[in-house]
Amino acid sequence: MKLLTHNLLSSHVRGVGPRGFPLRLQATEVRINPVEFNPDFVARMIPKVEWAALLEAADTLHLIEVPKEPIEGYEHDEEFLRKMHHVLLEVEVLEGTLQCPESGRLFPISRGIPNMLLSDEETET
Amino acid sequence: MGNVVQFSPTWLPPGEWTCEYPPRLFWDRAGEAGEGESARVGRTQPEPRRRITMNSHHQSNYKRSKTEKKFLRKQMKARHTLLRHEGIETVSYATQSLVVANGGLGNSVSRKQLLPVLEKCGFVDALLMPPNKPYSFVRYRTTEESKKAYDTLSGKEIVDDLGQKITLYLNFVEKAPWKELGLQALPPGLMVIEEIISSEDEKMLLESVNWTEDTDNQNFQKSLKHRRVKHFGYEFQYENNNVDKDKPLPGGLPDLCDSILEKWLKEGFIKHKPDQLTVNQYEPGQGIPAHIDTHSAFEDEIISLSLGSEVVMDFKHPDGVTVPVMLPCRSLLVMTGESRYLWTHGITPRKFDTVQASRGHKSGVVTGDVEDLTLSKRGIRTSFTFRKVRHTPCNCRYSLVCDSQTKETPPSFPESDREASRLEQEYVHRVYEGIAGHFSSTRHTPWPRVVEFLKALPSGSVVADIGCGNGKYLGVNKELYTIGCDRSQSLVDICRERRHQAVVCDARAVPVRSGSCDACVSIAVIHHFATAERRAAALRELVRLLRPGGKALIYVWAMEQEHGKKKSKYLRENRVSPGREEQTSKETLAQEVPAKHTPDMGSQDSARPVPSISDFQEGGCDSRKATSSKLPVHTNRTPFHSQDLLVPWHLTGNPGKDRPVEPLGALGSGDPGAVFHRYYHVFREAELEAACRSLSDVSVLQSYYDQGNWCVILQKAKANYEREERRKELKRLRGEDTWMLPDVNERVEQISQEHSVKKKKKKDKHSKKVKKEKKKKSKKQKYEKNNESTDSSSSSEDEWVEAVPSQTSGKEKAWKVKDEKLENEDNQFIQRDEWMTVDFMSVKTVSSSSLKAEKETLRKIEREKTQALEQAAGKRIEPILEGWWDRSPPRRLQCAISY
Repeated sequence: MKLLTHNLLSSHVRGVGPRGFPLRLQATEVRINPVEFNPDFVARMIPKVEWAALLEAADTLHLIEVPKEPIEGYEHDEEFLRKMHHVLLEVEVLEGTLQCPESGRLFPISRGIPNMLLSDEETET
Repeated sequence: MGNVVQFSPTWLPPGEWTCEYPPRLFWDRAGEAGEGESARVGRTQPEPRRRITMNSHHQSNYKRSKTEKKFLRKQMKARHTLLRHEGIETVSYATQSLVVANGGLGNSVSRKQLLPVLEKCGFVDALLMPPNKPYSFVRYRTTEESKKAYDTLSGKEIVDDLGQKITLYLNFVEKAPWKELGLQALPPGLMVIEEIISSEDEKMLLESVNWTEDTDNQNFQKSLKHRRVKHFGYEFQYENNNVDKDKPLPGGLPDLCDSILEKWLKEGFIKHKPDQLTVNQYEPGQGIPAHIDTHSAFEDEIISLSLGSEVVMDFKHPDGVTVPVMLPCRSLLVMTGESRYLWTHGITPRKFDTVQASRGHKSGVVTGDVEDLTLSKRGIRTSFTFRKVRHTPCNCRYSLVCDSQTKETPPSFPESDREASRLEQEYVHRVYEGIAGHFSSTRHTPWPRVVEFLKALPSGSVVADIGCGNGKYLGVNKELYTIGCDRSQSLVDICRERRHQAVVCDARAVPVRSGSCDACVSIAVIHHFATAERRAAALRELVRLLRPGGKALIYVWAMEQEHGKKKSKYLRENRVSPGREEQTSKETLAQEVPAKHTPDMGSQDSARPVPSISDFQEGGCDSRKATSSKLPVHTNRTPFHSQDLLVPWHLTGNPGKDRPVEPLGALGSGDPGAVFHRYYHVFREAELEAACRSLSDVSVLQSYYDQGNWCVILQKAKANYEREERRKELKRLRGEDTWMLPDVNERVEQISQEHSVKKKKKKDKHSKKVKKEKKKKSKKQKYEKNNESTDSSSSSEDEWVEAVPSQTSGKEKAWKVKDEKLENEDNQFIQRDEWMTVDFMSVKTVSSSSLKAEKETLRKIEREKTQALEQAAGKRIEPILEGWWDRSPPRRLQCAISY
């Protein structure tokens, strides 16, 4: 699971709603998978990122420092984009857990796959 | 190695893992060209310059000869392959551990051969040989020793077990990724008795089987593609994996066997005396696909005597646990209970088995202990499998894989949500888990129009593929960020292997934050939900993920497999010969039981091909005709006769090869030839469209038929968010927690009526007039708007393709629940016509902008009302809301709220 994916995921336990975001990340195994750098692509992803959630995730993984917010004119700032490219697309959590911040429900991440399957009771509306 | 920094992650012991950061910053700078190499291993086609410079710190910089260059290229390729296919990261500095590419059990290199070679370079701390892999890991006591091995053994040729030359490629690794597996236990009910017969008896038994006899001999003998077989007592029929219980073969079992069986009975090794014998002869390299012996054909106890040579037999639990069991020469395998009924067993066709080096030729589980594995060469093995023919239906505890029990209880049409959930669990989720591998192997070609949709999305779009299967659409457009999700763990595993982002979840509860996706696709998913409400829930969830203005593409299987007099690919690929499918085909042949009457199809009935009589005769439907609520079983590649049905899936053991042979049977087993049944709700014309239109704040951009599927492209209304929240809030205040769906059938009727009168309408001058007027209006409106200061939500209305609620005609039907989308039919047609002619991707501003004038005036009025509402919301909302519900159209209020 890349951190960009983590940034899109949210708990879907019944009744949690928007308070299910962001999922608390715990990692026991992380791998860096090199991905070809595409500055335009990264720049397009920046506005879609929930920054606070990314900061928190990067912090739990002890990654390099992520700027507190996207710096101005980031579209042309290669250093910034490379940094974000690395954080968003190259860091992969292989083993660990995701925890719903509201209900405390734990979801395992195994071999890079978060298992977010809920029982019927947990999803009923 | 300036760029290689210890990452010091706290969640890993130090030294376990290093990474390079920043990964690519250095390698374009002069003088450091080689340094960033290990970060680039995963990239395709590294330039030759780098390939050569990468090892500069191990070898001095002189001009390299051609062979050296060739070697380095191969060395690089090995690293590349290890990372790409196995996720093994190699490093370009010396460590204690090395990965030895080509020196693996999967490459026919045994421990016996490899270890001495490695020991020449120093003290080998450990040699890990993972089963079936073309590489192994060696750890030396010191880095010097491993460096020596790297320098002397890289590119060295050794001779493998088959006498072929193999070149080793060594690379440093930080750690060997294999965890030791714990000792596994034998499957419950399984027993292996060693040395059950003497060598003399073995010889006698082997000699008693005369493979050269004429084929007209009564003891039926066959040379199957993968092995030779011979039957005694009863003939085993590979067509249905059963025996003809009324036709015992004359002669019974050979006398020699008879006396041995008596002895085993007396000694308590077996409890029942078998009456059927199948003798199999396997050459090295031959095997038998994983299977469960048909439950209804044989009794509980099945025994197999191994003669001539040992072999490793793989036992597999439906949950995915595999236990390799060593069957030594002259041993007896006894399968009872769970191991006989639930676990599959099979022999992988290969010339060597991976076995425990320390255990020699003893029976038992072959563990994954990579420090103790070596190869054992197979010889000619003859097995005597004794079984007792069953004369009553099987009543084992494993009903899911029992052919006796499954056939008698076909599932019913679900009456409640709970039943629907159970039906999906058994007839969708479990099936996909079971067929995942085979399913995936038949799903490689993406559907062109889905690809078209994905390719047309703007670069940098975030896309969710809900029900992604094996992920065949996840990599279609590299300019997108695509996340897949599927209910099946096995299928998501396949996605992951292909390096896609994927999550396990249900399509009705997708763990993705609302409004985060620029687009969603749901290809062949929604038809697996068993009630209209569950299907609608899946659609709503899809819309929830979309950002306002985002688009979703939905494909469902169509009831009508013939459209515009053209048969769908599904029907066209029907084979002339009934019986077995080809692995490329989507579905396979089985029988249909028209137990449930075809739902009323109205006028569409005439367009459907009349079901052939053979459809009704094939399946032996008598027993099931009485129970009308039972789901019918579909005949693959024939027209559908019911909307809710079970579609058979036939597992084939060796895709692309000949049909698997040997005892098979039960439904749901991992058995080649096993039949799984998947539940489907096939959609009628306009049904999907109607379901989509009944969603709030969604407009249907395109609705079409594609190769037997009904397809819709929908767009989420802009500024939908606040509106949705507001509506929920109001509902909550009113105490309305549940809201019913508008009756889909009614809506279907309405839409099909619309379709039928559409052609007339097209030529209707009146409607054209209306169109023109609207365009005028919209121009004017735009002009006005530009002069105003506009907020985002009002400008977004402009792009929102939506029908006009202005004048309500008397044609509107009463709905069960007040629907926000009651629209004037005339206006709807104008909209639809326009969409049909305009490419959906380019649709931006449609005549809805002509609404502006009206909306503006409405807004003023409504804003006041909303304010009143908001004030009242906390306390007494009842009176105002009642008025709100009764008013028509309710949209007005929404406009006001969204503003």
